[in-house]
Amino acid sequence: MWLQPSTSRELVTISCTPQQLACAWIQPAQGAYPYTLRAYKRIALNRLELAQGKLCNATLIEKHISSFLKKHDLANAYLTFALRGPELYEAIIDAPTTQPTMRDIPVPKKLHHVWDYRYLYTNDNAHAALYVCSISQALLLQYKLMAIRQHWQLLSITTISMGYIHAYVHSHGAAFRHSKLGHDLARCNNRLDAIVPDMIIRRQLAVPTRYAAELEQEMPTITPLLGLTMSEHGAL
Amino acid sequence: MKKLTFIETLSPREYRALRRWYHVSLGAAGALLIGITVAQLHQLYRFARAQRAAARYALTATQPSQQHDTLANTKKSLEAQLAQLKDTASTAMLHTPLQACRAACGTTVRLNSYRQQHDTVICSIVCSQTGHALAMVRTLQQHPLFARAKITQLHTMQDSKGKFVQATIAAQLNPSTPV
Repeated sequence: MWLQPSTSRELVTISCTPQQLACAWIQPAQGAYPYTLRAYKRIALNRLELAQGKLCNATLIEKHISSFLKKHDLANAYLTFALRGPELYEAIIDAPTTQPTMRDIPVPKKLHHVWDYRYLYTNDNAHAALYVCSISQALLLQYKLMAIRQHWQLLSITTISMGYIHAYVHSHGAAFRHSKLGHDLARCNNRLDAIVPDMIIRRQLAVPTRYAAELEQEMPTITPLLGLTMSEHGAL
Repeated sequence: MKKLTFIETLSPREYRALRRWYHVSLGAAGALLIGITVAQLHQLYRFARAQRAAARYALTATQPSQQHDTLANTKKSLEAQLAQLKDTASTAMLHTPLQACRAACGTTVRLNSYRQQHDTVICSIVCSQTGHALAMVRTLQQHPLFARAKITQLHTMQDSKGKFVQATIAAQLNPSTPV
Protein backbone atom coordinates (compact mmCIF):
# COMPACT_ATOMS: atom_id res chain seq x y z
CA MET A 1 0.00 0.00 0.00
CA TRP A 2 2.71 2.42 1.00
CA LEU A 3 5.22 1.38 -1.56
CA GLN A 4 4.88 1.94 -5.24
CA PRO A 5 4.73 -1.41 -7.05
CA SER A 6 7.97 -2.37 -8.62
CA THR A 7 8.05 -2.49 -12.38
CA SER A 8 9.97 -4.91 -14.46
CA ARG A 9 11.61 -4.03 -17.76
CA GLU A 10 9.44 -6.56 -19.55
CA LEU A 11 6.91 -5.58 -22.16
CA VAL A 12 3.81 -7.54 -23.01
CA THR A 13 2.07 -6.64 -26.24
CA ILE A 14 -1.59 -7.42 -26.66
CA SER A 15 -3.63 -7.25 -29.81
CA CYS A 16 -7.40 -7.10 -29.65
CA THR A 17 -9.73 -7.65 -32.57
CA PRO A 18 -13.39 -8.66 -32.47
CA GLN A 19 -12.35 -12.19 -33.39
CA GLN A 20 -9.29 -12.80 -31.26
CA LEU A 21 -7.08 -11.68 -28.41
CA ALA A 22 -3.34 -12.28 -28.61
CA CYS A 23 -0.73 -11.74 -25.93
CA ALA A 24 2.99 -11.92 -26.60
CA TRP A 25 6.03 -11.53 -24.38
CA ILE A 26 8.94 -10.66 -26.63
CA GLN A 27 12.35 -9.85 -25.23
CA PRO A 28 15.31 -8.22 -26.92
CA ALA A 29 18.12 -10.73 -27.22
CA GLN A 30 21.81 -10.91 -28.02
CA GLY A 31 22.91 -13.18 -30.80
CA ALA A 32 21.65 -14.18 -34.18
CA TYR A 33 18.11 -13.00 -33.51
CA PRO A 34 17.51 -9.52 -32.12
CA TYR A 35 14.31 -10.63 -30.37
CA THR A 36 13.08 -13.76 -28.69
CA LEU A 37 9.49 -14.82 -28.33
CA ARG A 38 9.31 -15.87 -24.67
CA ALA A 39 5.59 -16.48 -24.47
CA TYR A 40 2.63 -16.23 -26.76
CA LYS A 41 -1.04 -16.98 -26.55
CA ARG A 42 -3.89 -16.38 -28.94
CA ILE A 43 -7.44 -16.73 -27.75
CA ALA A 44 -10.34 -16.88 -30.14
CA LEU A 45 -13.24 -14.74 -28.97
CA ASN A 46 -16.37 -16.64 -29.90
CA ARG A 47 -18.75 -15.22 -27.30
CA LEU A 48 -18.91 -11.64 -28.50
CA GLU A 49 -16.47 -10.48 -25.83
CA LEU A 50 -15.23 -7.80 -28.19
CA ALA A 51 -18.29 -7.48 -30.39
CA GLN A 52 -17.99 -4.47 -32.69
CA GLY A 53 -14.63 -3.85 -31.03
CA LYS A 54 -16.30 -2.80 -27.77
CA LEU A 55 -15.44 -4.43 -24.48
CA CYS A 56 -18.73 -6.27 -24.04
CA ASN A 57 -17.27 -8.70 -21.51
CA ALA A 58 -14.40 -6.86 -19.93
CA THR A 59 -14.18 -9.35 -17.07
CA LEU A 60 -13.40 -12.20 -19.43
CA ILE A 61 -10.85 -10.13 -21.36
CA GLU A 62 -9.22 -9.14 -18.06
CA LYS A 63 -9.19 -12.76 -17.01
CA HIS A 64 -7.48 -13.88 -20.23
CA ILE A 65 -4.80 -11.19 -19.97
CA SER A 66 -4.28 -11.60 -16.22
CA SER A 67 -3.92 -15.36 -16.52
CA PHE A 68 -1.27 -14.85 -19.22
CA LEU A 69 0.60 -12.34 -17.03
CA LYS A 70 0.31 -14.53 -13.95
CA LYS A 71 1.42 -17.65 -15.73
CA HIS A 72 4.63 -15.98 -16.91
CA ASP A 73 5.17 -13.92 -13.74
CA LEU A 74 4.66 -10.64 -15.57
CA ALA A 75 2.35 -8.91 -13.12
CA ASN A 76 4.54 -5.79 -13.11
CA ALA A 77 5.30 -5.73 -16.81
CA TYR A 78 4.39 -2.85 -19.10
CA LEU A 79 1.47 -3.47 -21.44
CA THR A 80 0.87 -2.17 -24.92
CA PHE A 81 -2.46 -2.66 -26.60
CA ALA A 82 -2.94 -2.80 -30.36
CA LEU A 83 -6.57 -2.56 -31.40
CA ARG A 84 -8.58 -3.13 -34.52
CA GLY A 85 -12.30 -3.06 -35.09
CA PRO A 86 -15.29 -1.00 -36.12
CA GLU A 87 -14.77 1.44 -33.27
CA LEU A 88 -11.46 2.46 -34.78
CA TYR A 89 -11.11 4.51 -37.92
CA GLU A 90 -8.02 3.81 -40.02
CA ALA A 91 -7.19 5.19 -43.43
CA ILE A 92 -4.32 6.21 -45.65
CA ILE A 93 -5.13 9.63 -47.03
CA ASP A 94 -3.49 12.16 -49.29
CA ALA A 95 -2.79 15.55 -47.81
CA PRO A 96 -1.14 18.60 -49.33
CA THR A 97 1.24 18.86 -46.41
CA THR A 98 3.12 16.45 -44.19
CA GLN A 99 1.88 18.25 -41.06
CA PRO A 100 -1.83 18.73 -41.58
CA THR A 101 -4.18 20.33 -39.09
CA MET A 102 -7.34 18.75 -37.78
CA ARG A 103 -9.38 20.61 -40.37
CA ASP A 104 -7.37 19.09 -43.23
CA ILE A 105 -8.03 15.49 -42.25
CA PRO A 106 -11.47 14.03 -42.95
CA VAL A 107 -11.90 11.95 -39.80
CA PRO A 108 -15.52 11.06 -38.98
CA LYS A 109 -16.90 11.87 -35.52
CA LYS A 110 -13.93 14.06 -34.77
CA LEU A 111 -15.37 15.31 -31.49
CA HIS A 112 -16.07 11.80 -30.17
CA HIS A 113 -12.78 10.33 -31.30
CA VAL A 114 -9.16 10.71 -30.38
CA TRP A 115 -7.22 10.81 -33.58
CA ASP A 116 -3.64 10.98 -34.76
CA TYR A 117 -1.66 10.47 -37.96
CA ARG A 118 1.79 9.48 -39.15
CA TYR A 119 3.51 10.47 -42.33
CA LEU A 120 4.16 7.49 -44.61
CA TYR A 121 5.56 8.67 -47.91
CA THR A 122 5.25 11.34 -50.55
CA ASN A 123 3.25 10.68 -53.68
CA ASP A 124 4.30 11.58 -57.18
CA ASN A 125 2.04 14.63 -57.06
CA ALA A 126 3.96 15.91 -54.03
CA HIS A 127 1.09 15.15 -51.74
CA ALA A 128 1.87 13.31 -48.53
CA ALA A 129 0.34 9.96 -47.81
CA LEU A 130 -0.62 9.87 -44.17
CA TYR A 131 -1.76 7.04 -42.02
CA VAL A 132 -4.70 8.45 -40.04
CA CYS A 133 -6.40 6.63 -37.24
CA SER A 134 -8.86 7.50 -34.53
CA ILE A 135 -10.53 5.71 -31.66
CA SER A 136 -13.76 6.51 -29.89
CA GLN A 137 -13.42 8.15 -26.49
CA ALA A 138 -15.75 5.57 -24.98
CA LEU A 139 -13.67 2.60 -26.09
CA LEU A 140 -10.49 4.29 -24.93
CA LEU A 141 -12.07 4.85 -21.54
CA GLN A 142 -13.06 1.20 -21.36
CA TYR A 143 -9.47 0.12 -21.86
CA LYS A 144 -8.19 2.72 -19.39
CA LEU A 145 -10.66 1.58 -16.76
CA MET A 146 -9.71 -2.02 -17.33
CA ALA A 147 -6.05 -1.16 -16.84
CA ILE A 148 -6.78 0.86 -13.71
CA ARG A 149 -8.92 -1.91 -12.27
CA GLN A 150 -6.24 -4.54 -12.83
CA HIS A 151 -3.31 -2.26 -11.83
CA TRP A 152 -1.63 -2.77 -15.17
CA GLN A 153 1.26 -0.57 -16.19
CA LEU A 154 -0.23 0.65 -19.43
CA LEU A 155 2.34 2.07 -21.81
CA SER A 156 0.35 2.76 -24.94
CA ILE A 157 -2.80 2.01 -26.87
CA THR A 158 -2.40 2.03 -30.60
CA THR A 159 -3.65 0.24 -33.69
CA ILE A 160 -2.57 -3.08 -35.13
CA SER A 161 -1.70 -1.30 -38.38
CA MET A 162 0.73 0.88 -36.46
CA GLY A 163 2.31 -2.33 -35.20
CA TYR A 164 2.84 -3.42 -38.80
CA ILE A 165 4.35 -0.05 -39.70
CA HIS A 166 6.75 -0.26 -36.71
CA ALA A 167 7.67 -3.83 -37.67
CA TYR A 168 8.44 -2.65 -41.19
CA VAL A 169 10.42 0.40 -40.05
CA HIS A 170 12.47 -1.35 -37.37
CA SER A 171 13.14 -4.45 -39.46
CA HIS A 172 14.72 -2.23 -42.08
CA GLY A 173 16.67 -0.33 -39.45
CA ALA A 174 18.97 2.36 -40.81
CA ALA A 175 18.05 1.32 -44.37
CA PHE A 176 14.45 2.48 -43.91
CA ARG A 177 13.29 5.00 -46.45
CA HIS A 178 9.85 6.53 -46.77
CA SER A 179 10.02 6.15 -50.53
CA LYS A 180 10.66 2.41 -50.19
CA LEU A 181 7.68 2.20 -47.83
CA GLY A 182 5.58 3.93 -50.46
CA HIS A 183 6.79 1.52 -53.08
CA ASP A 184 6.05 -1.50 -50.91
CA LEU A 185 2.63 -0.16 -49.97
CA ALA A 186 1.82 0.38 -53.64
CA ARG A 187 2.95 -3.15 -54.35
CA CYS A 188 0.62 -4.46 -51.60
CA ASN A 189 -2.25 -2.26 -52.69
CA ASN A 190 -1.91 -0.10 -49.57
CA ARG A 191 -2.58 -3.06 -47.30
CA LEU A 192 -0.47 -2.42 -44.23
CA ASP A 193 -0.91 -6.04 -43.08
CA ALA A 194 1.08 -7.24 -46.07
CA ILE A 195 4.03 -4.86 -46.13
CA VAL A 196 6.20 -6.92 -43.79
CA PRO A 197 7.34 -10.15 -45.41
CA ASP A 198 7.34 -13.21 -43.16
CA MET A 199 10.97 -13.80 -44.02
CA ILE A 200 12.00 -10.57 -42.31
CA ILE A 201 10.15 -11.53 -39.15
CA ARG A 202 11.77 -14.96 -39.18
CA ARG A 203 15.17 -13.24 -39.29
CA GLN A 204 14.27 -10.91 -36.42
CA LEU A 205 12.49 -13.23 -34.00
CA ALA A 206 13.77 -16.37 -32.34
CA VAL A 207 10.78 -18.62 -31.80
CA PRO A 208 10.89 -21.47 -29.26
CA THR A 209 10.21 -24.92 -30.62
CA ARG A 210 6.88 -25.12 -28.80
CA TYR A 211 5.61 -22.27 -31.00
CA ALA A 212 7.53 -23.17 -34.19
CA ALA A 213 4.90 -25.53 -35.50
CA GLU A 214 2.21 -22.86 -35.41
CA LEU A 215 4.42 -19.98 -36.47
CA GLU A 216 3.20 -19.89 -40.03
CA GLN A 217 -0.36 -19.66 -38.86
CA GLU A 218 0.39 -17.13 -36.14
CA MET A 219 2.63 -14.87 -38.20
CA PRO A 220 -0.09 -12.27 -39.01
CA THR A 221 -0.76 -11.90 -35.27
CA ILE A 222 2.84 -11.97 -34.10
CA THR A 223 4.13 -9.43 -36.65
CA PRO A 224 2.37 -6.32 -35.23
CA LEU A 225 3.17 -7.45 -31.68
CA LEU A 226 6.83 -7.68 -32.63
CA GLY A 227 6.58 -4.26 -34.26
CA LEU A 228 5.20 -2.76 -31.06
CA THR A 229 7.97 -4.40 -29.03
CA MET A 230 10.53 -2.94 -31.43
CA SER A 231 9.04 0.53 -31.10
CA GLU A 232 8.98 0.40 -27.29
CA HIS A 233 12.35 -1.26 -26.93
CA GLY A 234 14.23 2.02 -26.65
CA ALA A 235 11.91 3.38 -23.98
CA LEU A 236 12.31 0.47 -21.56
CA MET B 1 9.14 6.80 -36.96
CA LYS B 2 7.52 8.18 -33.83
CA LYS B 3 5.17 5.81 -32.16
CA LEU B 4 1.47 6.56 -32.21
CA THR B 5 -0.53 6.19 -29.05
CA PHE B 6 -3.97 7.36 -28.03
CA ILE B 7 -3.11 7.80 -24.35
CA GLU B 8 -0.64 9.95 -22.50
CA THR B 9 1.26 7.84 -20.03
CA LEU B 10 4.45 8.17 -18.10
CA SER B 11 7.36 6.61 -19.84
CA PRO B 12 9.10 3.81 -17.96
CA ARG B 13 11.99 6.14 -17.24
CA GLU B 14 9.67 8.77 -15.81
CA TYR B 15 7.82 6.13 -13.84
CA ARG B 16 11.06 4.80 -12.39
CA ALA B 17 12.17 8.33 -11.53
CA LEU B 18 8.81 9.00 -9.89
CA ARG B 19 9.02 5.77 -7.97
CA ARG B 20 12.56 6.59 -6.85
CA TRP B 21 11.48 10.08 -5.79
CA TYR B 22 8.48 8.64 -3.95
CA HIS B 23 10.57 6.13 -2.07
CA VAL B 24 13.23 8.69 -1.23
CA SER B 25 10.52 11.06 0.02
CA LEU B 26 8.90 8.27 1.99
CA GLY B 27 12.24 7.30 3.49
CA ALA B 28 13.04 10.92 4.32
CA ALA B 29 9.60 11.39 5.88
CA GLY B 30 10.06 8.19 7.86
CA ALA B 31 13.51 9.26 9.02
CA LEU B 32 12.14 12.67 9.98
CA LEU B 33 9.29 11.05 11.88
CA ILE B 34 11.68 8.72 13.68
CA GLY B 35 13.95 11.67 14.47
CA ILE B 36 11.07 13.69 15.87
CA THR B 37 9.87 10.69 17.86
CA VAL B 38 13.32 10.07 19.29
CA ALA B 39 13.70 13.74 20.19
CA GLN B 40 10.27 13.79 21.81
CA LEU B 41 10.99 10.58 23.70
CA HIS B 42 14.24 12.08 24.92
CA GLN B 43 12.35 15.17 26.10
CA LEU B 44 9.72 12.99 27.77
CA TYR B 45 12.43 10.95 29.47
CA ARG B 46 14.05 14.12 30.77
CA PHE B 47 10.68 15.43 31.91
CA ALA B 48 9.90 12.18 33.76
CA ARG B 49 13.33 12.25 35.37
CA ALA B 50 12.83 15.88 36.45
CA GLN B 51 9.41 14.97 37.84
CA ARG B 52 10.92 12.13 39.86
CA ALA B 53 13.62 14.45 41.17
CA ALA B 54 11.02 17.09 42.07
CA ALA B 55 8.99 14.50 43.93
CA ARG B 56 12.13 13.42 45.78
CA TYR B 57 12.99 17.02 46.69
CA ALA B 58 9.41 17.67 47.76
CA LEU B 59 9.64 14.66 50.04
CA THR B 60 12.87 15.99 51.55
CA ALA B 61 11.33 19.43 51.95
CA THR B 62 8.31 18.10 53.86
CA GLN B 63 10.51 16.31 56.41
CA PRO B 64 11.17 19.47 58.54
CA SER B 65 7.46 20.19 58.47
CA GLN B 66 6.76 16.68 59.65
CA GLN B 67 9.39 17.07 62.34
CA HIS B 68 7.76 20.36 63.29
CA ASP B 69 4.40 18.64 63.56
CA THR B 70 5.89 15.83 65.61
CA LEU B 71 7.60 18.32 67.92
CA ALA B 72 4.40 20.33 68.22
CA ASN B 73 2.53 17.18 69.16
CA THR B 74 5.23 16.31 71.65
CA LYS B 75 4.99 19.81 73.05
CA LYS B 76 1.25 19.48 73.36
CA SER B 77 1.53 16.16 75.11
CA LEU B 78 4.24 17.54 77.39
CA GLU B 79 2.07 20.54 78.18
CA ALA B 80 -0.79 18.21 78.93
CA GLN B 81 1.53 16.23 81.18
CA LEU B 82 2.70 19.46 82.78
CA ALA B 83 -0.86 20.56 83.40
CA GLN B 84 -1.57 17.20 84.91
CA LEU B 85 1.51 17.52 87.05
CA LYS B 86 0.41 20.98 88.13
CA ASP B 87 -2.93 19.59 89.12
CA THR B 88 -1.17 16.89 91.00
CA ALA B 89 1.05 19.53 92.61
CA SER B 90 -1.97 21.60 93.65
CA THR B 91 -3.47 18.43 95.10
CA ALA B 92 -0.25 17.98 97.00
CA MET B 93 -0.47 21.56 98.10
CA LEU B 94 -3.87 20.73 99.46
CA HIS B 95 -2.12 18.98 102.30
CA THR B 96 -0.30 22.12 103.37
CA PRO B 97 -3.45 23.98 104.67
CA LEU B 98 -4.57 20.71 106.23
CA GLN B 99 -1.25 20.37 108.00
CA ALA B 100 -1.46 24.01 109.09
CA CYS B 101 -4.93 23.33 110.47
CA ARG B 102 -3.73 20.26 112.28
CA ALA B 103 -0.82 22.17 113.65
CA ALA B 104 -3.20 24.91 114.79
CA CYS B 105 -5.35 22.32 116.52
CA GLY B 106 -2.54 21.45 118.84
CA THR B 107 -3.37 19.11 121.69
CA THR B 108 -6.53 20.77 122.91
CA VAL B 109 -8.58 20.68 119.79
CA ARG B 110 -9.61 17.64 117.81
CA LEU B 111 -10.12 18.09 114.09
CA ASN B 112 -13.29 16.35 113.14
CA SER B 113 -13.46 17.19 109.44
CA TYR B 114 -11.63 19.23 106.85
CA ARG B 115 -13.12 20.42 103.59
CA GLN B 116 -11.59 22.70 100.99
CA GLN B 117 -13.78 24.33 98.37
CA HIS B 118 -11.82 26.44 95.94
CA ASP B 119 -10.10 28.94 98.21
CA THR B 120 -12.23 28.33 101.26
CA VAL B 121 -11.24 25.90 103.97
CA ILE B 122 -13.93 24.68 106.35
CA CYS B 123 -12.90 22.77 109.40
CA SER B 124 -15.10 21.16 111.95
CA ILE B 125 -13.48 20.85 115.33
CA VAL B 126 -14.34 19.50 118.76
CA CYS B 127 -12.79 20.89 121.91
CA SER B 128 -13.51 21.02 125.58
CA GLN B 129 -13.61 24.82 125.90
CA THR B 130 -14.59 27.69 123.65
CA GLY B 131 -11.28 29.33 124.25
CA HIS B 132 -9.48 26.52 122.58
CA ALA B 133 -11.50 27.14 119.44
CA LEU B 134 -10.80 30.86 119.61
CA ALA B 135 -7.09 30.10 120.07
CA MET B 136 -7.13 27.99 116.96
CA VAL B 137 -8.85 30.77 115.03
CA ARG B 138 -6.21 33.20 116.10
CA THR B 139 -3.47 30.77 115.15
CA LEU B 140 -5.04 30.40 111.73
CA GLN B 141 -5.43 34.16 111.33
CA GLN B 142 -1.73 34.57 111.99
CA HIS B 143 -0.78 31.85 109.57
CA PRO B 144 0.33 33.24 106.19
CA LEU B 145 -1.73 30.64 104.33
CA PHE B 146 -5.04 31.90 105.58
CA ALA B 147 -6.93 35.11 105.66
CA ARG B 148 -10.15 35.98 107.44
CA ALA B 149 -10.38 32.87 109.57
CA LYS B 150 -13.53 32.90 111.63
CA ILE B 151 -15.90 30.66 113.58
CA THR B 152 -19.09 30.17 111.62
CA GLN B 153 -20.79 27.76 113.99
CA LEU B 154 -20.30 27.02 117.64
CA HIS B 155 -22.31 24.53 119.65
CA THR B 156 -21.93 23.45 123.18
CA MET B 157 -22.93 19.85 123.49
CA GLN B 158 -22.98 17.23 126.19
CA ASP B 159 -22.48 13.51 126.19
CA SER B 160 -21.81 10.87 128.72
CA LYS B 161 -18.32 12.15 129.39
CA GLY B 162 -19.39 15.71 129.93
CA LYS B 163 -19.72 18.99 128.04
CA PHE B 164 -17.77 19.71 124.85
CA VAL B 165 -17.75 22.39 122.19
CA GLN B 166 -18.26 21.67 118.48
CA ALA B 167 -17.27 24.52 116.17
CA THR B 168 -17.01 25.12 112.46
CA ILE B 169 -14.21 27.40 111.31
CA ALA B 170 -14.08 28.89 107.85
CA ALA B 171 -10.93 30.46 106.49
CA GLN B 172 -9.99 31.92 103.17
CA LEU B 173 -6.83 30.74 101.56
CA ASN B 174 -4.49 33.65 101.08
CA PRO B 175 -4.25 34.24 97.32
CA SER B 176 -0.93 36.03 97.59
CA THR B 177 0.64 33.06 99.20
CA PRO B 178 2.19 30.74 96.67
CA VAL B 179 0.61 27.38 96.83
